[in-house]
Amino acid sequence: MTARQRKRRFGPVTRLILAAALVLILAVAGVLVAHARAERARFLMVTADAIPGDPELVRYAIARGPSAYAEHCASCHGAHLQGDPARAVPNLIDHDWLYGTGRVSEIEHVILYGIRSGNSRGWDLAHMPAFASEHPYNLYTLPFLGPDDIDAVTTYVLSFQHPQSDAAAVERGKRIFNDVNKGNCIDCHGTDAKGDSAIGAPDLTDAIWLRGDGSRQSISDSIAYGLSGRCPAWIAELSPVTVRALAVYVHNAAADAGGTSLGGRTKLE
Amino acid sequence: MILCSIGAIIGLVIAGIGLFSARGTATHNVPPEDIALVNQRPVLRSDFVTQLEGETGETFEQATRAEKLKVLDEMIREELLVQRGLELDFAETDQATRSALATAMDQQALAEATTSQPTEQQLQEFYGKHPEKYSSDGILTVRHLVVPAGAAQKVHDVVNALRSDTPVEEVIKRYGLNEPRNDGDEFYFAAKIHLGDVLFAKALLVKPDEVVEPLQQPDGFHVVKVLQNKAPVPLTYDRAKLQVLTDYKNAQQEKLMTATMKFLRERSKILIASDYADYKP
Repeated sequence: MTARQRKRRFGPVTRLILAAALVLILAVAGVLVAHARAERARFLMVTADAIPGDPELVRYAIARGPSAYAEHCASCHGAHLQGDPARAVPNLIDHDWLYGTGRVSEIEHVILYGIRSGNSRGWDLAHMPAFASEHPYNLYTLPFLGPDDIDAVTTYVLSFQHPQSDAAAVERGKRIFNDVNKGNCIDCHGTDAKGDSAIGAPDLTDAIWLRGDGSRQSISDSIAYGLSGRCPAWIAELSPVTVRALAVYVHNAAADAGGTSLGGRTKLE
Repeated sequence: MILCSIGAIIGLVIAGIGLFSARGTATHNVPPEDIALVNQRPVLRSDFVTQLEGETGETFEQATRAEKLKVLDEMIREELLVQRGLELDFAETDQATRSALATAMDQQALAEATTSQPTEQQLQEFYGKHPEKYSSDGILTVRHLVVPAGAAQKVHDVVNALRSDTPVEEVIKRYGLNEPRNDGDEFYFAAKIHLGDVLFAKALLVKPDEVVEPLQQPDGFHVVKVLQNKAPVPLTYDRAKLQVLTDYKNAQQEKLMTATMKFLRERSKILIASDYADYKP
């Protein structure tokens, strides 16, 4: 078919309509692209902690977060963000934040740089010593503990949930817990044993266990063999949008799971 | 036809600019995830928030505009200095920078090992291949007495008294002995430190309530009565899972680092001085 024949096939009106349609399609596509870019820019430029208060941005995050979570996080933290006590992988929806207080910016930082990830910007200030070993801690010198010491500290920790524990053993365990020259547990967990989220030290007085089920054996194992879980740094793997979407998704899921204690949660209709 | 030609020419010009000048690839707008670009190097907003909150002890919302601008200025200053440091090749000349870079490479292997998550099957296989790693430490309970040197008969009497179940306290009192330590139950590693390798090895060979053959050392004869010896117990996979995971990742990290070093050596030309020709990696 020659060009002249093609010209004859479409009359001037048809050509005008086709041109107008093309322009319209291009305009709509342009508007959509511009809108998407503007939405993306707004999502990234707003302070992370302000996102939960903005339903539109939360919706934007929730459209992206779950699939990224399933791909990158679920293998450790579980499909429902419930964690895995056997591997000391934290539950993300129990409101017990090991690091920080559960703000989106804090979660975003953990996703970006990880925990003991090898990235120097990640969290790596402390870990749980393995007291049943010759050199329990590699950050400073700590004496090892004997089986009786470990048992006493275990009893002390158990006493927060079971006040009827053997008083003498509790007292002995407390002494070791507070002794800066022996257990020195207070250095991380504090004199009240409530932990320190600035270094990832768990609260030992609540009934939430990072590792195991709170049984004597699991507490004793944590003291004897230590804990130093890791979370990868995703900065080189994931886009800024994905990282932020994940952070918002986790924040929102945690808030969904437990009411309003996190504050600023946005319920999507 | 004319339009096509114009389009082609414009395309060629843009490609040419991109190829032959830095401008073609330079960004003139700050990407939304960044707070600044310093010679095209991004300063992330999330880093900015973290640094601001770390420095001021306030949340981002609580910080004043002046504080925010001050932190931004500090971050830009740092980026400029880092870039200048790279230009001056500090990695070659500054020992602290060299050490930091070498550590960072080690950490890179750790980061890669951390990112890949082993399957349950891989962990179980690892556990199966290294059964010696996964057991509780044994527990040894002993009484450890020292009889002064040159009192051979006394040693004999002490050992006989202990073997005939005379209470240890009474033996100590009767023979005026010294008990350097009484740590009660001890993990094997601790007992080994306490007793020394030879006595510890001997102690493992006797049954509870038996007395180890005395060992002569510079400070006297060491007599050990074993009260309890609990051998190490293998840990089930479920109980050892966390250690297995940690060990597995450590092994992965080591493997990655070995592979990295092998690759670096293979692609490098390393000449060794003749007086160190016996060097082997």
